[in-house]
Formats: sequence, C-alpha cells, structure tokens
Amino acid sequence: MNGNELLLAFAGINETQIAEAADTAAARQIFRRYKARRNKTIGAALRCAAVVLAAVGFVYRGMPKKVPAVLPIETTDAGQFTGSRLDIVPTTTAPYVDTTITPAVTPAASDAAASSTKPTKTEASSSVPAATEPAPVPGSRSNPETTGNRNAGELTNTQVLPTTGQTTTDRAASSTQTMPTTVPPTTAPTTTQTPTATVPMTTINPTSVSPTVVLPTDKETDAQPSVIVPDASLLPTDIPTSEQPSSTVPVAVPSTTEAFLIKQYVYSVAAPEYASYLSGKVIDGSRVGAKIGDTVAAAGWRFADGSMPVVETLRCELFEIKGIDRAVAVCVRFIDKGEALTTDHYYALCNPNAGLSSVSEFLIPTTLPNNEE
Amino acid sequence: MQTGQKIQALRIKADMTQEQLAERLFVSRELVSKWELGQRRPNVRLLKELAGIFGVEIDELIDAELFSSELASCIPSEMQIDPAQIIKILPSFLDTLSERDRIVFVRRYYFLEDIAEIGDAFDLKDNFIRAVLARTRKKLKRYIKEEVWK
Repeated sequence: MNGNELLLAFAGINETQIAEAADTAAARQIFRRYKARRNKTIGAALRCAAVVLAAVGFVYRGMPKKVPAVLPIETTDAGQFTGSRLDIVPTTTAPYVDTTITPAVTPAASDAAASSTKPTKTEASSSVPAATEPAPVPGSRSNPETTGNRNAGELTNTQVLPTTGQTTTDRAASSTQTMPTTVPPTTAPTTTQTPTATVPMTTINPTSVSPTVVLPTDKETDAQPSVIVPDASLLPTDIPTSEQPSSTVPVAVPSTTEAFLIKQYVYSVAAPEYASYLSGKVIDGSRVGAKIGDTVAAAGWRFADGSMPVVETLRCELFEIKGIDRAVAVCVRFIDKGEALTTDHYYALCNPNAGLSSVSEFLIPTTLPNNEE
Repeated sequence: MQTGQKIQALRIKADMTQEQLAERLFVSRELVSKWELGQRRPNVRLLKELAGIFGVEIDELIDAELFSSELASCIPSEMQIDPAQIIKILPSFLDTLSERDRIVFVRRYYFLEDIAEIGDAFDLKDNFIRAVLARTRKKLKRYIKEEVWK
C-alpha cells in the first residue's frame, strides 16, 4: 500500500465526518472554545507563577537588613527643633491658595496677635495651656498641637514658629520659615489672588475678625463655558455610504461622491477582428442575424480601479445584428455560462471606434454620481 | 498546470460541456466552472469520480504527491496492508480523534485544502496545523498497526 491508496481511502469516510469538517462556522466555534480553554490554562499558569514570585519577593523583603536606628534631626545651636522631623505638624503637601475669600483683619486683632509669643516646639507639650493660646498672626499658621485649634489656620508657606529668629527650610514647599525674635506688628493684611506658591494665606479668627467675603460675580461664572464645543477637526468628514465589495480588491472610493460604480461585469472575445469591441446590452433574438463563427471570450468583474482579479474563459458564438454592419457591432451568445451571463441571451459587442448612434440602444451608459451632474 | 486547467483540458478532450460534467457528478455547473477557474478544488471523492469519467489516474488531476508523501508516513513499512482494510479502518480512526484534530485532518486529506487555507478558515497558525496533522498521522500509524494485528 502507498500514500496514494491511503489518500483515496478518504473517499470512504462518513458523511457525518465530512459534514462536520465542511461546516466552517461550527468548526470555528470549536476552535474558539479550544483557544479560550488554552488561554485560561496559560492565564492560570501565569497567575501561579506570579504568586510564587511574589512569595519569593516577600520572603526576601522580610529578611533582616541594615537600617539606621534614628533619623537625623537638624537642630540649631540652641538645641531647638528646626522642623526636619517627620512628626512635624501634618499639613497638606501642596500650598492651598484661596482666591475667592478675602477676609479683613483689623489692626487691633493683629496687634493682639503680634504681642503674644509662641512657645518652642520642645516646650509645646508641657508648657502651653489652652488659656494662653496666642492670637494667630495674619499670615501665620497656628500649631494645632499647641493651640488645640486645628481649624484656626490655613496652610501657608510662611510659618511663624518659636521666637528664635532663625530660618529653616520647609520640607514640603521648600520655602523659608521665618522665626522672628519678636512677633512683628502687622498692618491690614492683604491676600493676593495670584495662584503662586509664595502667596501667604490670611487666617480667619472667628473671635476677632469680621471677614468680608467676596463672592464671584455672575460675570466671572459666565466666563467659564458650560458646554464644551467639539473641535470641528474631530468630526468625521468622509463617511462612506457605498456598499463595499466583499473581495479583498481595493476600491478607490471617491470621498466627495454619493454613488459610484463598484464593479461591472465585462467580457471581450478573442477573435482578432472583434477583440476591441466593447460589451453591451442584451438584444432581442429577432435582431440576431447570421452566425459569424465560434470563439472564446474572457469575462469577469472589473472594479472601480480598473482591476479584474478573476477572468473566466467562456466559449461563445458570434452573430451579426440585422441591419448593423459587422464593423459597427455584432452580438455574441455564450456556450459556457459566466457569473453574470446566460447561455440563452444574445449580448451586443460594439466597436468603440465606429459611430455608435445606430447602436446606442445597446450601449451600457457609465454611471455618474449625482452631485457631479 | 493547475487542477482546474487539467480538469478543463480533460473535459474538452472528452467533448463535454460543463453542464454535462456537472450532471455526471451531481454537482452544479457553477461548481465545475469554479474548479476550472481555480476558485474551488474537488474533494477526494469527486476526484476519484472525475478520474473514472476521464479514464485517468488521480495523479493526473491533482498534484497528489504532497498529500501522498505525508500519508505515506502513516503506513507501517513492516506490514502488508490491504487498501480495503484501510477504507474500513479510517472512519473508526477518525471517531477516536478530538473534534479539532478530526476537522483539520479531514479538511487536509478529504477536501485537499492547503495548510494556509485551513489556517485562514479557522483563524489558526500554520505551525499549529502542521503540529496537529503530524500528531494525527502518528496516531493513525499506531491505530493501523493495532487494528491490522488484531
């Protein structure tokens, strides 16, 4: 036995097995299920591997390593805390600038605030009772730990700290913290509305300040558009409306027309005298004259870009058209059926170099798009 | 020369139209036309009948060498096997396969499709199909040995 005989043995397999393989749609479902199962298995394997790797990494991270016992603390010569420790008063990381509210602080309140002193950080926990809480200085932030009033101040980049007159660097905002020796008297505070990191925020002391709140005017709110107008360049300009052929042959779709010819079935005969004749319409059998001869024709679909990917070779017979010279037009009847041709009809073949007024009824006009007429 | 051209040449030599040939084979004239244009390929069963109608060997219709050489590896060389026995064994062997392997095997050796065509039909890679076919051929060889030795 050889391979040929084994190949021929396949002619004897069951119809069920043949039908199963022939049903492409159902077979695709089977392969999709297979792929899904396979991907699931691969996914599970990858997840297991990830868990194992994570476990290895966790174990590695848990292994003892050298860590410094205490973080370095920056101190001044006087031994006072200068603000480098991590347990500094919690603040937001970004300076908050309120551009709408402009409270007014009276000079009297500011003087009262200025006359008080703020204890040092090291003394805060033990020596500052609530009754001696200093009035907040405009542009300052009170320390909630010492004053017990978390809402008394807003974050600012300018912080008034213990009266040592030294300057440190703020960890969060990298601006300077001034510590004057005496709390300077302040004039009426001003809060600018420019959103910069160095703009100080005025604080509001409910007990002594009557803030003047400046609300945004209608004009200001109207300045912001409530509807976002889409950019015209994002809107589609070329929306294809024509039916696309199912073949892979590219079709040149004009972008400005509404309708265009996608493909046309054409044929031409091999007989040299009539090879240049163009295909035309069906003509009535009563117009058919004497037989000229037998030949073969090449037929197929011609697409808009002029390509003809598939060409059929069909046997055919040529006939005269009664009353029409052969040099103008003849007709053809196909013996082999083409995709868009029958074996029962007579089709005109017209000479494009001849005057075709006498055969105008047989000509197939070119389809023009509507908006070009 | 492609299979379609061979079929056309043999048909014209036999002085038959496409319709007449289609009637003999119980298929449509369009299918015969597609064979001759190379758009479709007749399966093994129809090839056998075509060979009978035209009085030729199947080798004259298709380039069977590729398929035959693949299947030749399934035939145990140490055994003498009757082709009639294989015709009986083959359907039962196909029943032992998984759906996936059976579909690929039948598409390849009954419908005589190329590996690329099978891949396009089912959105599979060529290497995967080759692997399935190779694995199935090995199974067929083992099966033939077991069945013939029974």
